Amino acid sequence: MADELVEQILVRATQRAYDGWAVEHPSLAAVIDRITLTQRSIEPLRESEQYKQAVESYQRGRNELELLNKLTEIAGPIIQKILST
Amino acid sequence: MGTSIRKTLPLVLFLGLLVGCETPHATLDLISVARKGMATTRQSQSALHQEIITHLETRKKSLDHAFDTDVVLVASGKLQNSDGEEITLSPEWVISARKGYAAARDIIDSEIQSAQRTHSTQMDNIVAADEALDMASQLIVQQWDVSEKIKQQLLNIQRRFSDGR
Repeated sequence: MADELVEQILVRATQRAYDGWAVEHPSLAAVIDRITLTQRSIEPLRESEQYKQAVESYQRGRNELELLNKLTEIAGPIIQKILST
Repeated sequence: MGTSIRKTLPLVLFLGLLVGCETPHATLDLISVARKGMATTRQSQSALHQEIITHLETRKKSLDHAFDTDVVLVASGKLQNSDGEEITLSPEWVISARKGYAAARDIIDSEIQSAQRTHSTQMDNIVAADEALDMASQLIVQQWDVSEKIKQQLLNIQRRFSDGR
């Protein structure tokens, strides 16, 4: 017994009922009966909102850390100078 | 002002050291394990995809063989229709066989294309996930570096403060 969708495609192509066609082409029908259509749908991760937001947060986090790093470099000596006076 | 700094400085220093004590190695190790898992998944996905394609290509060859087998069956007069009548190797029969054969091949070809598209997306998803893990580890290292720098600055201030007393 062929996959329902496969059978429909065969009926459209041969313009005949599948069972009648299968009797006249038994070997072909035997192979066709083993064909199954697979529903494959997979969303690209990069296009998901969650991924985009995560990458944006990463960029923001990097920038903030770079800023904090620079501020630490600048503020350290100033605070030390204040304390020593 | 000076008194307030003197009071809060040990607390700030303590907090700085506390934050600094949190080594990122455990987290980085976990990310590294996850990335190895991604590499394994990538390999098994490739192997699975190859199996699917081989299976579908085999189906196509089976169709070729089945077409020939049916021709031999009809030519030898061994095939009967549902009414029990012998089927002859007529042009109509050949056309009917070719239509079914072509439709079946088209189905398999579209299955191959669909499998390739899915595989490509799955592989890119694995790469994207791996990149996300890489970004996470970069961020952790960067946070660690900054916290170490802050800790060092606080220690310097503490040292200067102690020397000045």
